[in-house]
Amino acid sequence: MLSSMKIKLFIVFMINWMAIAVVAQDDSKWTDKFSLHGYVKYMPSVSFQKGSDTQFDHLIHNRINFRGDFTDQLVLRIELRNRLFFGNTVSSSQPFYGNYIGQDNGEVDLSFLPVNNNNLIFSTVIDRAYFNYTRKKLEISAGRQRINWGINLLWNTNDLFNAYNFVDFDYQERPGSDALRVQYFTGNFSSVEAAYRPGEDLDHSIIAGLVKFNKWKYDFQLLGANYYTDLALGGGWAGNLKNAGFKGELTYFYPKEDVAGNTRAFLSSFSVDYSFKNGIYINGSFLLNSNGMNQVMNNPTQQSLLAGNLSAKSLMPTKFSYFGQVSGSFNPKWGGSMAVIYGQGMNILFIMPSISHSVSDNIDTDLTGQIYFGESADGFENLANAIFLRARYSF
Amino acid sequence: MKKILVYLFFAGIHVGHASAQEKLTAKEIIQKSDQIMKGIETTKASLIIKTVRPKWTKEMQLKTWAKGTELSMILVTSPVKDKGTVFLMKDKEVWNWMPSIERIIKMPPSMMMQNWMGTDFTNDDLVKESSIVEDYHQKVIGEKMVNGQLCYQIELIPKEDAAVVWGKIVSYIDKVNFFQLKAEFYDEDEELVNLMEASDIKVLGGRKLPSKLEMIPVDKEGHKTVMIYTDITFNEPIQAGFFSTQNMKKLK
Repeated sequence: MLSSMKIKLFIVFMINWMAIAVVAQDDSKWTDKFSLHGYVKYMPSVSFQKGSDTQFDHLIHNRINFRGDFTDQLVLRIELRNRLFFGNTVSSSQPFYGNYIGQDNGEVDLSFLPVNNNNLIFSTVIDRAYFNYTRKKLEISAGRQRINWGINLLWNTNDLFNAYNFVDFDYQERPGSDALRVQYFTGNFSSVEAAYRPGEDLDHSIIAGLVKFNKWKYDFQLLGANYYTDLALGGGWAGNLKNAGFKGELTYFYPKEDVAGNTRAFLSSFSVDYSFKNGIYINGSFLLNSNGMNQVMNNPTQQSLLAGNLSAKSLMPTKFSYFGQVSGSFNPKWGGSMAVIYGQGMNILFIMPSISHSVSDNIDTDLTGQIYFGESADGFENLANAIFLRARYSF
Repeated sequence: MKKILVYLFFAGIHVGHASAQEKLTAKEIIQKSDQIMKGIETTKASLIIKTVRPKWTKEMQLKTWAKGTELSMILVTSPVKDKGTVFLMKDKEVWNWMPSIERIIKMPPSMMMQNWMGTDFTNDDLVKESSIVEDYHQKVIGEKMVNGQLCYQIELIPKEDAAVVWGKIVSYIDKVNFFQLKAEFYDEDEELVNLMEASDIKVLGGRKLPSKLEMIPVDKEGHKTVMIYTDITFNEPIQAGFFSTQNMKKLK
């Protein structure tokens, strides 16, 4: 245990050191083969929840994306996030909070918590570490990587490997999957691929195949998978209705064995988006989760509504969910957006307004609000709110 | 080629000295200006787009590739936060690779009418879906000096069924080189909306052409977008497989 900790610590140290060393190098021999980018963010936030004190929190977050092109065919990518948490949530929710932040759901534990006390949590997570090998139309990737099969902006029922939680807006890169992926490009806009995320047995693994093609000015995809304890079949498209974008994803999950608690599920999502001449972009989406709830919960909390862990099989707790977003750049410096998610039956509502400002080419700031409403015994009421301010320097 | 590198800009490439004595019709002038690019199968270019506002200027660097009129690709190389973003266009379909979320997004066709990444250019200006020759009626309405060059002044009115952004365009094409040195863009109510000016004629890729293009929104004081070509290569073979979703992720 100790030795594996030491090795992890060493790896983390090495990558962070490489980051400094490569940045310091201004030699084109290096920069041709290796690139290093990322950002440093500072995000203070305030959150207030029904029945608890107002929480002030701080997060300093550094992401490092390393890419090494050893040859034209072989690329190594390592990406990690160093995060420093302090504030009320750290001082009041330990050790659970630290353990939650430090958990790694992959096959290999690449998460490291050098400091975890009541004042400070320092976490380093390697969320990409893979080799990509290309030979003409064949591509093989092995290691921790993102396999992104989603089509829609928000609800991706085809995205078996990395389900997306919209509420977690500060992690657009998403965690990676420890997997092997083989892609073969049959044409400029078509491919077949297979991906394997190993687990202790078939019921803890994903083995999936995907076919993509382009026809009638539409992109289509079809998939089949052993998805943990289920078999999954699905497909999706991206095309247009006149000048509006029209996208959809359908996936049917069928349990391999008749076990209590594991039920069939059919998830489908559709979206229409349109971009006006003045730069305003609108997106409307609908999600059907056949397993979702269609009535009011007894005692809803923010966690039970939207903030929990989700998977491709349960993207929303509700049976019928709706999403609407309006966003736009007023000019290259200022942008704004407003997103609303509504879960029918349970009567839950999530609102996320945001404004962003680009201070300079490499410095950006934004202000984001999150407002949760839900139906409880006391009626439809506000359950939780949070405001996040972010400043980001990209390098 | 015309798709990506802006008709407006290339409308001006040197064709050799057409005889100025000939009496040309408006259509012939536009065609001459347009046909300058005929014979160009592929284009590779590096350019800078500067968005100028009263209090600040923002700069973006791009690389572009194009083959025929069907296929084109744009790679953002700077600023660093947008680096690696790629747009791939095949006829009227557009895909966008976002490296930060590792996903290819298919863009709605309406995106083509919108200002491109916050600049004063629309996607349609950059990608040029509509054809000046096919989609408009042309008429010579006079002659005018632009930057010391005598130009034909040509009025372009869209044909009834044409899917175009503008209500009217007045184009100024110089009588010697057939470069489009200026264009005025009017909306459906005949209000002047944008002014385009081409200048800094240089030899790029073995051809003489305007290397600088400015798009000025008329009703916004101190606003403009400047496009500067730093490098162009014509007719270097590009394999068909280059314009693929596989290659989008690998462009450098």
